[in-house]
Amino acid sequence: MEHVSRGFREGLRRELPRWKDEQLVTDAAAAALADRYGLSKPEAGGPTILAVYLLGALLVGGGVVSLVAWNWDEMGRGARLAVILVAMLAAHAAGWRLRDRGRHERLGHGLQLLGTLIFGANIALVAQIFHVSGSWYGAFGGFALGALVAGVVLDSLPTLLVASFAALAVWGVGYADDHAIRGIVAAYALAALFLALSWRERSRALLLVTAAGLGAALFSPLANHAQALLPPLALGAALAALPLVARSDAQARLAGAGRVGGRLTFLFFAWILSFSDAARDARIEHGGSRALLLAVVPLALVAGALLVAGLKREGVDALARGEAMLLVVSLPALYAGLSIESGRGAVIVANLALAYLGLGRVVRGLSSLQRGPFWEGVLVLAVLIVSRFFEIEHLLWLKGAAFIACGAGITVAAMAFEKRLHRRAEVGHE
Amino acid sequence: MSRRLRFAAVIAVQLAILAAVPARQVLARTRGREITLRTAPVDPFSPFGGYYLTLAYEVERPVAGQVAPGLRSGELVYLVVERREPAWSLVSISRERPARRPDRAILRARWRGGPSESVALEPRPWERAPIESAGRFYLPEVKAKRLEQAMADEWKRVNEIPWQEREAVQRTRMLVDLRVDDDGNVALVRLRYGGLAFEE
Repeated sequence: MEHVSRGFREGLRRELPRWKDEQLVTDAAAAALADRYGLSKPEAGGPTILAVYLLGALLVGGGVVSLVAWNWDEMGRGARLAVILVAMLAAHAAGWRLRDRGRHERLGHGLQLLGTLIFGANIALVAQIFHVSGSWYGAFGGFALGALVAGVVLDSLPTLLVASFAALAVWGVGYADDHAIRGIVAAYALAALFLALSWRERSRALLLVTAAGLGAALFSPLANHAQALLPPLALGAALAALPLVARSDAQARLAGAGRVGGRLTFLFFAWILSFSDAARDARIEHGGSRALLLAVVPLALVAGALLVAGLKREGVDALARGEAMLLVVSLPALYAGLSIESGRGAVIVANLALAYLGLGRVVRGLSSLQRGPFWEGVLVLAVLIVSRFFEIEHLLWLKGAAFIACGAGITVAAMAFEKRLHRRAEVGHE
Repeated sequence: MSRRLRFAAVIAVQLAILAAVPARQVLARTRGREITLRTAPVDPFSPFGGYYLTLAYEVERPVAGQVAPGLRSGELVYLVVERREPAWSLVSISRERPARRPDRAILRARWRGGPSESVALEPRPWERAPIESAGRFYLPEVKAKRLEQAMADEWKRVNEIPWQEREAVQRTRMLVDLRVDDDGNVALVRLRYGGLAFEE
């Protein structure tokens, strides 16, 4: 059976009988199409249904947390604890039962996630009953551990997503803010664990949530300095280099998601660094602090290793390779640029990297006639040009002229691109 | 591992984490003795995680000569307090756990201050040693409102007192009873404010 989207199958199911009636396809061709796309098999409730169940679980979990926060005056503490423990066990048991019987798999996932969210509420309740206080992120560490165990043992991807978020984006950020070096090491260890799990689950969502959490945790101990921009840039480069080592289709899908996430991350943080004031604030003195080096160098080394491995391989998409090369090579250039007076070198590197990335996306759009990359590239170039002219405080006529030229350029580019798409469609019909 | 066993394992781990959260408080409650500390509310009420009062104890702020030299910020320390009326008072802050004495108690805390030796001679106003896990007193909504009202009334009353006498009045207005065990673990038992007492 060929792998196609649920929407495609539903459309085909709807259209095929009409095509047969109108004798556009023969009975044999219709049967062959139905077989090829597995139209006779029932749909297992798509990702939308799962999203609804998960949203429901999050809302109910949020409600339970609010009830705990309300601190019920009418109930004794023992009764409160009993109620909320029973709620946790009931949600877990119902989810397990549904999944164990092989029916309502997605609802089962939603209930198991709810069980773990209620577990989180229970941590708050126990802390409330015993007046336990400490660092704000401590409770999230306990919650992440419980969610991780539940996600792995019960094979529940939604629970793993929540565990990754709580572990890196919440606990990791708080811990790294308090203990820079230990926090960065812990963030790397947690990221390695969740990335391995994202590979096991073949989950792009888990990969991206983990990467975002790692970026936030590495950003946090440096957040008082503009140098905090560097770890996300290194992370972006490492993610963008993933397609260079992807071998199977499954790896390519994961790496593709990583590449998009990495490129967007790099674009955003390089854009901030493309402003002279930001680069001046981010200037690195005496080679950089230990925390900065620890947050940047391992990621840069990983990115470099992926690039070297990808350079030797055949069959790698040339634009993906070029993009990865640009991002990885930019890293030492940015670091060096920030180490010289006023960080001017980094401004030049950031602007060049953004311009090349934008042009690369435009070229990809034109060569493959895809709107996505074309418009991404145009947007990057337009933002870059407008940003540079915002920095000009004099010569207002030049600023005005640049905006006009930019707007006209985008309009002309849009017309030319759409015309080209239209021409190709016409050729296809002939 | 069978699905049933896996389900049981998850429940066991989550329950174990829940049991670990108040472990120190349970130890202090079961094997500790009761002491009283003077405190002041520093960040009155927050809806996050329920109504609670953030507490800053007088014994957390040392004066010259009470701090062991060379402490690093974040380091585990022990506060030694001794019986006084109406509240126990600070004797010293040290790295090592002191020997037990019947008229004294020890409390686990974290040093938040500068690393310099000068701390021992002249602690700066921002340097303190917050007692571990004793910084919040949770209250149900109704009791929280009652305490808030009492504090507002007290504030009005204190403002009418000549300023020279104010400090003495304010120093005795809020007390916390805690149970403390020999390892320095604490559990909050009761918050007292004027004539009001809030049991945990």
